[in-house]
Amino acid sequence: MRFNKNVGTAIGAYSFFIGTTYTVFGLLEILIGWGDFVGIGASLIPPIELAGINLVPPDVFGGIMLIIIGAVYLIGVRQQARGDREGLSFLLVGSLLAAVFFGVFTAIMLANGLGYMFQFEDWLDWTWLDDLRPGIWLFPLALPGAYLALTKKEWRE
Amino acid sequence: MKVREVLGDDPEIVLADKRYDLIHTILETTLVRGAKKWALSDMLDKVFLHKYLGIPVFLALAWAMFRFAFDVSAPFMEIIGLFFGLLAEASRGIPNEVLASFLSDGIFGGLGFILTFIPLIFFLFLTIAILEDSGYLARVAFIMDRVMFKLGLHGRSFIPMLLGFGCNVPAMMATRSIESEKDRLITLLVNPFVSCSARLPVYILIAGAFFGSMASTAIWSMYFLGIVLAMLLALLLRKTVLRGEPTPFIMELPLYKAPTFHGSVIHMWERGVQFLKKAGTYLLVGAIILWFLSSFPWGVAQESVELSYTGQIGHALEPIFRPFGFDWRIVSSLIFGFMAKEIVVEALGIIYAVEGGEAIAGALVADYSPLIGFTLMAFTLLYVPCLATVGTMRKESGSWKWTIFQVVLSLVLAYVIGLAITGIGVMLGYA
Repeated sequence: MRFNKNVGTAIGAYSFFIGTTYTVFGLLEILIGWGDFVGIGASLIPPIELAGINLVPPDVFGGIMLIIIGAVYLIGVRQQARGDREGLSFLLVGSLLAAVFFGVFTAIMLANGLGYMFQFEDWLDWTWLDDLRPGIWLFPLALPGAYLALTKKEWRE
Repeated sequence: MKVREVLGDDPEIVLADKRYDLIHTILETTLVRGAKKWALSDMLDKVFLHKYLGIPVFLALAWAMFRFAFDVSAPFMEIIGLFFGLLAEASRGIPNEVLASFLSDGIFGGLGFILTFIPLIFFLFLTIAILEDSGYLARVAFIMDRVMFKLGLHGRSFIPMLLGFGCNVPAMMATRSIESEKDRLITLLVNPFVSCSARLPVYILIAGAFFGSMASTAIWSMYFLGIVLAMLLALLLRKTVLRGEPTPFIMELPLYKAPTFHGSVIHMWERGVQFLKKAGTYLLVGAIILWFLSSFPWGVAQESVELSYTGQIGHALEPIFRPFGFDWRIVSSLIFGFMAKEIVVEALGIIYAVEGGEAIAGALVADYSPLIGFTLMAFTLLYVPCLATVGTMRKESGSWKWTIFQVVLSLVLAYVIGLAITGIGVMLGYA
């Protein structure tokens, strides 16, 4: 079953944008974290900061997970651009995975906030910015896709 | 066997074929087809069961599950740790020295330390319950069947393997649903390599001490190592002592549904409470035995735990573990860990005679390298399963021969993998 090709192209472009963004930030997390991971210490690229806030943590496995989310979006692009309704599945599951990781990282931030509130030793220097990472701030980009895939029932008929 | 000969195929396949033939016949006469709707379950299955994306997506969700359980439980574990620390401190003031030592080092220092892992275990079971209630875990069995079949395991083996993440004992009992004796025996033999929740406190302690922000990844790698080794062993067993083809796997996938908070919490509680029961029985007895062996001969052991019975046992066996860099403390802990794997952590707490995870972690970092820590994690994963699992193996296999084979196999594998990790680590300069 197919839907309007113009709509399909727009959805494909949107998925391509999000998929590429997740993949790029996943790669950045890996490159920044690689030094720590293999024990050489220095990161392969300098940290990415905005107004003194570190936007991308050094996290090799976290980066791999972002790449997997990106891959789910990207694999569906061709089908979406053709107007094939099955392509919507990739948009929906990509957004679902993005939501899971957003939920997990937000829960971690809240738990760390609890540790800070009680002033436990390991949390004395913690600030909420320490836990702000692409898995959290990229998620709003994924919301429109999830909304459309779930609510536009005519695309699924 | 006779049914198979008469039908010319696996009875389950024939039954399933006949059932779907009947459904097809009825539908042809009663159903007026409209345009096919692309349901939500179809959409999700398109990706979750995808040939290439299915397994990476599962690994990503598993990683998220561990990250959530490990990081979110940390402040709650701290609260419980502080509570037992206060109790231990207070009990030191008891005039009777033996009783004071028993309560502070044995009960609050040993058993109390294990109880700090309650939040972690409950959070992990909560995430498993959510995945199970949503209908996703059934899909995981389906996507893993392709891999498992190639590796000589039956598709149904995946459910016991999954249950093994909680506890290997019920997991081994769940193999009763596998009809083929060979398929079942292979599943029984490899199941203990799936990392149960009892190993988790050991991973948390070691990974937290040595790997900092990479701790959850180090823990995840242990689960991954366990699964990979279980599958490779299954393949090896299938090609050698248990030759033959696994029987085909048929399952009907349930529809996806949003898990309810109430349902997931109940499932979490049902599994988590097993840990509490274990703490009140096995782990309490373990703590008492350990405290006795580490505190006597009284007077001598108080000068140094090294002179206690525990120290003597550890020293006697230390040469065997020397290639890994394990000293008498680790060796003693591993020996007591045969009762239940959590006791490895309990033992380290009693041997170091310090309260709380941070104090024990600090003592470990001072005495060992991260490479030794990682090897210890892998060794704990692989060496002899706990007493209860060995008993279940004997009962389920009905054979002492296979039970002893399993114990010897796990010891040999733990030793070989330990040597491999140490060797590779030394080559890479991590010593």
